[in-house]
Amino acid sequence: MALAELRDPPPAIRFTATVDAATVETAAVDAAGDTAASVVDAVRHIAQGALAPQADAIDRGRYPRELMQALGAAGAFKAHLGPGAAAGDYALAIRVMSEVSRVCGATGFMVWCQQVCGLYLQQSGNPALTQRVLATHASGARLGGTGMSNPMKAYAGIEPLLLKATPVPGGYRVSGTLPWVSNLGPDHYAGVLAGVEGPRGDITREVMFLLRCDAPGVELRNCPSFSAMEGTNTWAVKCCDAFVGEESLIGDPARPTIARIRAGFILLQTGFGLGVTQGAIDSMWRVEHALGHVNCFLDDRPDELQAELDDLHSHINTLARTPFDSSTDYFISVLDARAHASELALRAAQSALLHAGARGYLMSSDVQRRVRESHFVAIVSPAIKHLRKEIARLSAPVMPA
Amino acid sequence: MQDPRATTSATAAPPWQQFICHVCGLIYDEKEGDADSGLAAGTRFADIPEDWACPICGVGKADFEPWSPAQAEAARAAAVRQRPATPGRLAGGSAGVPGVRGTGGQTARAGARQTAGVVVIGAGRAGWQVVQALREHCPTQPVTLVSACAGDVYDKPLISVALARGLQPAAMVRESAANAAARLGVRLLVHTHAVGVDVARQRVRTTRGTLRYSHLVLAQGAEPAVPAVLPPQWVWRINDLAAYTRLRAALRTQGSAQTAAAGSGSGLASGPGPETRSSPGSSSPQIAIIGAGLVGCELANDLALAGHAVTLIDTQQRPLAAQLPPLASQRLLQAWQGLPLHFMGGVQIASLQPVALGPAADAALGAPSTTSGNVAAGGSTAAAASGLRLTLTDGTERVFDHVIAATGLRASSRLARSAGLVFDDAAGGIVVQGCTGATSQPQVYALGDCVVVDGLASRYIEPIVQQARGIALAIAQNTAPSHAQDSAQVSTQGSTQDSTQGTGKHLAQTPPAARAPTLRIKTSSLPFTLSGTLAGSGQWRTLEDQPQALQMQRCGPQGDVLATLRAQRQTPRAGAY
Repeated sequence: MALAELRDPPPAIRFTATVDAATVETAAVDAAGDTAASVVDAVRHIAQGALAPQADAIDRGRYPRELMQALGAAGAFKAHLGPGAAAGDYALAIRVMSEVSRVCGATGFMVWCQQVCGLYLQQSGNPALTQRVLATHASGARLGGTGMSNPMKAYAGIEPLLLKATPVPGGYRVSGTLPWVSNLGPDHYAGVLAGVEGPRGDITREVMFLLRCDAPGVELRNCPSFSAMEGTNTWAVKCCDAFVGEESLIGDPARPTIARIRAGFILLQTGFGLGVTQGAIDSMWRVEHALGHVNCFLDDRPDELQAELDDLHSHINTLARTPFDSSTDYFISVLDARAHASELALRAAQSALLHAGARGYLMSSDVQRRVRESHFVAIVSPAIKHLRKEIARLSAPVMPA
Repeated sequence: MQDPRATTSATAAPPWQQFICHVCGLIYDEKEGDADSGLAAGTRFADIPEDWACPICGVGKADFEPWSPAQAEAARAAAVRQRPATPGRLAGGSAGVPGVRGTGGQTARAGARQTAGVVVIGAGRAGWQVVQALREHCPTQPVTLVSACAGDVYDKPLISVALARGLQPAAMVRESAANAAARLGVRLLVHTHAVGVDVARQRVRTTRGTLRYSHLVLAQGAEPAVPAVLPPQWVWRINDLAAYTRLRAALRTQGSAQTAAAGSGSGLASGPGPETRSSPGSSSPQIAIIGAGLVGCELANDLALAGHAVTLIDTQQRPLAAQLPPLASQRLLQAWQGLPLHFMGGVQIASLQPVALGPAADAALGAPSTTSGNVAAGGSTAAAASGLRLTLTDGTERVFDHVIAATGLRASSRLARSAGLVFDDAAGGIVVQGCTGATSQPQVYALGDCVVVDGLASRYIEPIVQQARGIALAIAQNTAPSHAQDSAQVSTQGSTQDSTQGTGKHLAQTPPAARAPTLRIKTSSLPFTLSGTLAGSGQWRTLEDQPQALQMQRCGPQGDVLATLRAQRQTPRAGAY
């Protein structure tokens, strides 16, 4: 099932999946001529064409570089990036993620990694990033991820910050290890955050920056195997006095940047849960003809799940109109939509397995793969428990003491 | 008995330690070592090379800490204790029998598959009242009560007189939530926030899961409405026992801190301007109360009676301008003479700033932040000790230790919006029918401080009893129209007097007479009782005006009495707190 290896992607990308002999041609997408529909069509064409037969291999460890770059060329990574620091079309970005996740959760998740890293770069206000990195990133020519899971949990009081930074002339020296960061590689990078230590060793502020995997002092280490999605190029990132220069700073101090991006970060993730849910529903309909007479005795039937999914997606599209709304009420809605997408993905994936029965339990079946993908939807930061804790915290009034 | 491990030098060895990884929970056992990393069994943690990484998540030794099985057991015991105790469902057929419990000890877990029956959001007075009414009229219907707070039963009006009566906040709890739930046979979810309503699927999303309801009752209460010029992290809003408890604790802490500071002669930082602060040697914090309405005046009176220096501030020229005729306000001000209570009327606030920001004001990640956290970051409480500078539009500046906002109430519209309910933005509440508590959506009801009837909110205790009964009857009729339960007499511990209890046979066909409830203003130095409609045409006339008593009446053009006012001066009791 080898696909033609891709180096620097030329404007026209052509590759062949030998298994089903499908040929995909994607022309470079001219941003001005894009419509949302054409982007969705192009992405769906890739997802259901070249990606689908690869999903199993990707689940087991194959990193789909050329597919990622094809998706980038189709506009998957830049729909949400408006001109300057403005919001683009978040609903389209979520839709794109959903179309990919529907077919392959791992690739869908990596689409999100790429999208959100693009958001960091866009919002950094750092010309070294916005003018020199953002364009190649948004097109998928360069790939990167996000290591913000730990800071998010630290912010909610769940675990301590793992990266520490010491100010030095021209930037910082950073040490510490992030256990799991996806969509990485030797020439990749990731948006991360470190606590800046004061003279007494306490954290006085935080700094967010782009960590390049090939920088001196940065080491990618193997993680143990995961239940699913092994092809996401997930590594532990170990920093030993790695130098981070001013050209890499995304937010210093980090808090204002985080306040601005946090809703968009989580909103974009919903595409993952929406897509996995849709994939599960698709698989239920596929067996309806043969097994409908007995599947009718199950809960969570595909028509009910589709209705709930459609309502949730519609609600998310409304939220997607104002991704930089800084109100607490809006953020609670975003957090809850994310939780709802996780819950729905869990229910749908499990129900799909019950609908499919033995054929869905085979190692080669997308149905059991999707069950494991749905687990990831529910536990990847912010996990359901983390979301609920945050909602509870934000729902309580701020008081002087 | 000698420790067998001790003293015998040949065999002495400290016991094997275990260490837990902060990030992924892996336990490193010195006795086992870590074969995959080349660490032999028996390798002490201290002897592990510094470049060793957690085999699961890759973090270093610095992210490990000592651990013991006893710790895990303690954590599990604490988690079990934290779960609210709930009864199981009421057994069918046990109509109105008090104290019927389901299988005890079940923990509260929401699940979409279970039908939660009637779901009540909010365990304040309204929530508990409607639960009680449901038990009277629909004894076998499952009921689930969702409370963002602890849900304990207490009388909120007591907050206004707690200091004068020497009441500690903890003593104000009449009945614990768990006891009340067990007594009424309802399922209880405490410290649980309702986040959104899906009316089509009849589900409520909460921070503990999703509930499927047959009927939904919103008893969410109202929240203090505070003008934007008053930032929430500097300003107290007292609308529940939890907030009041924290205020009382802060006053105690502040008081002792100031006594210490005053005693050491250090004095306190103060800004320029007249009358900024009590002189060194005074142990009483300076409190500003913004809003001289019902809550503001009651709190001001109570705090002043306890010896706190209170400045009561309002845009109006006199206290309780919305409720009282001018003479009555005057008598109240007179009753306050002799108390450390200063009324500043006819002023507007320009800004409120902390006097000095502490170094930890921009608190580190991992601690709640000022912008979205529950409690102001560590630096700000230090700043509060230095004071809060209140600046008025006329340029006057005052520095206070505490600022309390009593500037009105309005209901949060979040749940109403998600449910598509008609919400009255001006009056700040969910629009309901007066007699049935029905909202604009079928199966969804509301009562208490969160509702608006005919354009008016009526945020008092008295209407709640009627509303609760109306809702319970409506639900009873809706659930089993041909077998609507007559209200059994259910003994209710500590319930308020309600003469209409037990007469539920008439299924709320006639709306109760549209009259304003009797209003008691519990300003302890001069409490008022008002009946009738207070606003509108018709002059107030004075029937009696003595030092100890005031009686007034408002009459219509035909001489019909529209409203009465009585005030009786009390000798204030000094209260310890």
